[in-house]
Amino acid sequence: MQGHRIEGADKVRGLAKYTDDLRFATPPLIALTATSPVARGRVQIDTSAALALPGTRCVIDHTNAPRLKRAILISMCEPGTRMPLQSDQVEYAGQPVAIVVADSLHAARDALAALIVTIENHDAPAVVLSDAENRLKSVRRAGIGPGAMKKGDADAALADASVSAEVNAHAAPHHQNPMEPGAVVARWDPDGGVTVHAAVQWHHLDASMIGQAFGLSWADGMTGLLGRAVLGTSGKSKVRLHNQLSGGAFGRNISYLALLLAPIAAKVAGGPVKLVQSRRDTFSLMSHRSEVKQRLRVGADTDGKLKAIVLEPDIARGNAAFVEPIGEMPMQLYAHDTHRLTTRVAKLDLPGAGWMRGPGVAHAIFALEQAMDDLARQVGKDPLDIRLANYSEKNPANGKSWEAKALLEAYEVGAAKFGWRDRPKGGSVRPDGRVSGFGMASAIDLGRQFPAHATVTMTKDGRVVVSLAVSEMGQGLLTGLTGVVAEMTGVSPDRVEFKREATKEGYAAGSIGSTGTYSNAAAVKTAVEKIIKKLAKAGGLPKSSKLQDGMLVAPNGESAAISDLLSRTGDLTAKGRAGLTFGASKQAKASFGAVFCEMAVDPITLDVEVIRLVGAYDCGRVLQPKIARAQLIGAMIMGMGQALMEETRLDRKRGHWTNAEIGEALVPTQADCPHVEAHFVGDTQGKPGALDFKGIAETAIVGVSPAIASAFADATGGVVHHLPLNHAARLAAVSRAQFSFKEAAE
Amino acid sequence: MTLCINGADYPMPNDPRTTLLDHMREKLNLTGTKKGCDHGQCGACTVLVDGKRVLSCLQLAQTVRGDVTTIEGLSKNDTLHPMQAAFLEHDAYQCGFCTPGQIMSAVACVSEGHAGSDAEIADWMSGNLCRCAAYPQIRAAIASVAQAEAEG
Amino acid sequence: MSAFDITEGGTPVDGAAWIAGGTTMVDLMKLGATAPSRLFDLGAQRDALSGISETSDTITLGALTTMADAAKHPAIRGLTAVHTALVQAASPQIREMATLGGNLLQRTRCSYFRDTRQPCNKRVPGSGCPAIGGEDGHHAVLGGSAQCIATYPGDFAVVCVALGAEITIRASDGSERKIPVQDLHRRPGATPHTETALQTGDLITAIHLPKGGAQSYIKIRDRASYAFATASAAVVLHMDGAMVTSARIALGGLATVPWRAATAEHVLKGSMIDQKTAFAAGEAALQDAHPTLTNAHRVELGIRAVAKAILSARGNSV
Repeated sequence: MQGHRIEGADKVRGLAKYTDDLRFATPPLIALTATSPVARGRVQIDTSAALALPGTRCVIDHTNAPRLKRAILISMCEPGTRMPLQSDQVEYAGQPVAIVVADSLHAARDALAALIVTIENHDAPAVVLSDAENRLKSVRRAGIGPGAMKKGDADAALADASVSAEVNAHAAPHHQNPMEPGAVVARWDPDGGVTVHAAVQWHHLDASMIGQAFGLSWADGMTGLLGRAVLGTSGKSKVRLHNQLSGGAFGRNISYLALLLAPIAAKVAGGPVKLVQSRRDTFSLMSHRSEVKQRLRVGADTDGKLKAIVLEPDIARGNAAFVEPIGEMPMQLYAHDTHRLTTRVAKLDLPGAGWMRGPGVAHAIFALEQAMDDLARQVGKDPLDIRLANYSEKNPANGKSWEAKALLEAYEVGAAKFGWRDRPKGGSVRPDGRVSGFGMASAIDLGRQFPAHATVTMTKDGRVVVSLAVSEMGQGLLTGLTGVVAEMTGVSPDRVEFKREATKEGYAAGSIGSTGTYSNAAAVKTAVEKIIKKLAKAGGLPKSSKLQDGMLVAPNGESAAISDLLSRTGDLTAKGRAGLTFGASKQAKASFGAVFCEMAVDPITLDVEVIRLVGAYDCGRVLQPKIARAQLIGAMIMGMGQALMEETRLDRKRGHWTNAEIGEALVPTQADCPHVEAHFVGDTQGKPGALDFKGIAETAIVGVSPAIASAFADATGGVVHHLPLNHAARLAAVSRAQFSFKEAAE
Repeated sequence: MTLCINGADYPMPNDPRTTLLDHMREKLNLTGTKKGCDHGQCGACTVLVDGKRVLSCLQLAQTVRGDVTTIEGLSKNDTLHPMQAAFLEHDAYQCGFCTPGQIMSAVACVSEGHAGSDAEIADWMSGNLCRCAAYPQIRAAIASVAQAEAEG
Repeated sequence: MSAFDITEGGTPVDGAAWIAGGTTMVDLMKLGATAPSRLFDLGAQRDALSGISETSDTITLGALTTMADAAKHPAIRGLTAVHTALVQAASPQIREMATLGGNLLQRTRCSYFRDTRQPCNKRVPGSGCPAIGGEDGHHAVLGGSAQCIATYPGDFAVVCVALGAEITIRASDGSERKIPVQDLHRRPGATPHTETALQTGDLITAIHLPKGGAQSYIKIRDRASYAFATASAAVVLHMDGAMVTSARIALGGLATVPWRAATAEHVLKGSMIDQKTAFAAGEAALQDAHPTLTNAHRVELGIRAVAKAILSARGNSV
């Protein structure tokens, strides 16, 4: 069977191994984490009962945990701000306060239940923005995005604008909730190094985090990490991080606490330990997408052309440097004359917020697109036409041209496939009595390239071995890279092997922000090109020769069998590097899209059903259409979840996530899933010899929430600027008299 | 007392607290069945007991009455079960973590007669969360198996 | 999970409990929210206490019938509200495991009850109720007390109350008695840890569902499946032409117990059903609600659930 993911057969047979499935010659002890029930105070732990249990090996809290050093973390996740188990200070509910280590899972559960955790003097926390007005501070930077921006006099332009719209958007916090709760196995080695098995999204970054925390070697510090990123050497790292298959991640598996808790446990226990996270643990031991408020005002002329964009976000952050980068993208989508961005950030008494698919941009475009819809209503334009009217060929934020931009085609193809121009009127009653609504939105996400170093070997027996520590978490990266190698070498995909698990393999770009595949593919490509040159030299053929079907073929048709060349040269190895400039170029790079939604609303219950989602996306070259489309569809459905249901609630007095269970923090089920179509537009073949990939999944989550909110407004007249658009939000926007009676009255 | 799993007899756990899921994963090295929540909220641990789909995380091992089939017992030697083949063919998975549960649930969905239409499959597969949201592909895979069975 | 043992013979005494499908019991034992010292496994009695029989006016279900088996029985398919409540509950897997008797006794989903690091009067009497004045978005707006506002989460029991269903209870001495499902659950009052009228050792052996009436169950929730009701309503109407001669209405997801809405029934009796009366009945059903700022929307949602259920029941009558 052709075109399957290379790990697919294992996955459908139940043979694919995730970290908790691994078995070792010396079975690890089992560790579980005790967390604080409240947000603030000083912790005291009575371990006597737990230690008295026969299966308990040890209990670790701030009094006996190894002292960890500060780590500089470019992921901005929590350990960069505070290391776990270093003091009695409790700064958020769900904070790890102790680890129990026991002989078995049962024994560890018993030990955990026997711990007596007391939090003294806990004062009132602030865990929602509305309780933290006094903590808001203006910032120049918001994470990886700008905090303040200014182009012209936006406030004056806004005041002078013929038409204006204001959106006060609010988005509740929510969690990535991949299906795998996750486990980390750690073992200290005789040379003082540590071996860790875990699923991570950015291998060398998190290996460095562990090395820095435990002060292992300069090679594991920030200098060593940068050296590795630039030189591609594995150096003398003492962290042997084995990256396992990831049961989903969506931004969550970056620099998470368990990567440190497991080595802490192994150190104190004196043997290998597997730290197992419960689903509830993941809500506070790992990151979340934070609460965001946005005040957005736009001014336009009577044709709806934007004159001013004034965006004032208030962003929550927890105990991490990470801030949802709201300001990064909204000025880069539509043509406009002036803009101002003023961001305020409040540090709340919460776990560190972090990366989740479409960081910043998903929420920012939600607000912007709501404003565009309002403008469209005011100037009497179709939602699609107002977006066409504001189309910008260049990047409107900085005037740079785009490397490629097929947004107009996305609008055209998306609208045609959806039937946008022929859609029934919003508010029309369907045969089943429900009311129809239609909405659309644009999508954008910036492309970035990160450094990667691949080592590729062509062997005499016809295999290609790629050494590169990449992450496979369902995005299909292994299959994609295998395709790149197979295409360039003419070797069949089943002869391509990856050595990707351990830190000693090549430095790989992280699988973050939909940048992993193309950043790493660029390094692989460079390495393969070097091998081709070596083969050409051995065969006396020109450097421009190409590999195909087991032959090295020169432009003039002259050829030599690769196997013959390799039998002369022996196995050939080359290193390839790419992305050292972090993708800096004169041209801006982004993926673009347009998404269209049909919705049915029950006028009495306000139940909504998304009937169809149709998207068209310019993601550059599409190497594996089946896998790429799956990424788009999955992200569109996640966008629907973000739009309609995803929300992790907080107790404002005690400060904890109250619905920290996957059955209570709702995510879409199969029954919620509409008819979804994803179409590719733009240069899907790519230029000859170039990779031309762009990001996929991050782009496709963007635009879905505004398209859905627009469809709801179209059906009911109720404009909702709150996410999720659940029953509570719908009821706040739509009164009985306004919608239900009117529609159902016969 | 023994437990019959995939046609083989295994000892019952001594500890009555042990769930079928933990017993299989921790003691019997049957790690194909996944733990996504451990509280009956995700479906990743779905197995069949006498052909009926149940959640092995909520089933105490000592109270199992019937023969258990897991993902490891679905294929015969090297031949994939038609549902496994369909999941592969339709790319009905991404990260693969929910996949064993999806496939076990899908097998039951067809045998129960709940795979008659796209909407019916969606309804009767809603006990298996997939955060990657391979949902449309999962429906397509199940529909193809149901159709092939209907055509005999 | 605390230590316990499992036995098949005998009857639970203090600190012990029956286990049937286990979907609630095992979940709560893992959380530590309940810790029976001994479990009496009903598996061996499965054959004796499951199955469905009917007379001209009643369907009797053995209490160990699984929700899945009940839902696919032709007799149950004829009771629209019951069938809807069963197939919209939980997931197909849970319905294969869970028994009807166990489902009636489903425990609350209150997050403070489920999180053993938090105080809870139901779990630890006298420890306090942080839901009151806390994150109460999904808590009861009807039937709460100063000690507890935990919502009864089930669907089937709500329909049973609307139908006027009864259960047979077998006591540990072997004697049997029948009570209405409506009398099974207790409002929390000052003793939220006492949830039902069952005595130690009591076992629900059968559920008796009256036939007849135009009926409907409407379950409103924030996703299409595998979620508890944010608000639900069960309605059973007896009509004479277009006029309602009698009505029974119960609410779910809004109250501490499956909630009989007698006031709403009076509103409907003798009236013709249209949207106005349906909403008037909904208003009456929720008139005693005690909402807070953060759960007030569920009062309106309850009104809408009742209205929708009445209109649907009327639709189902023709």
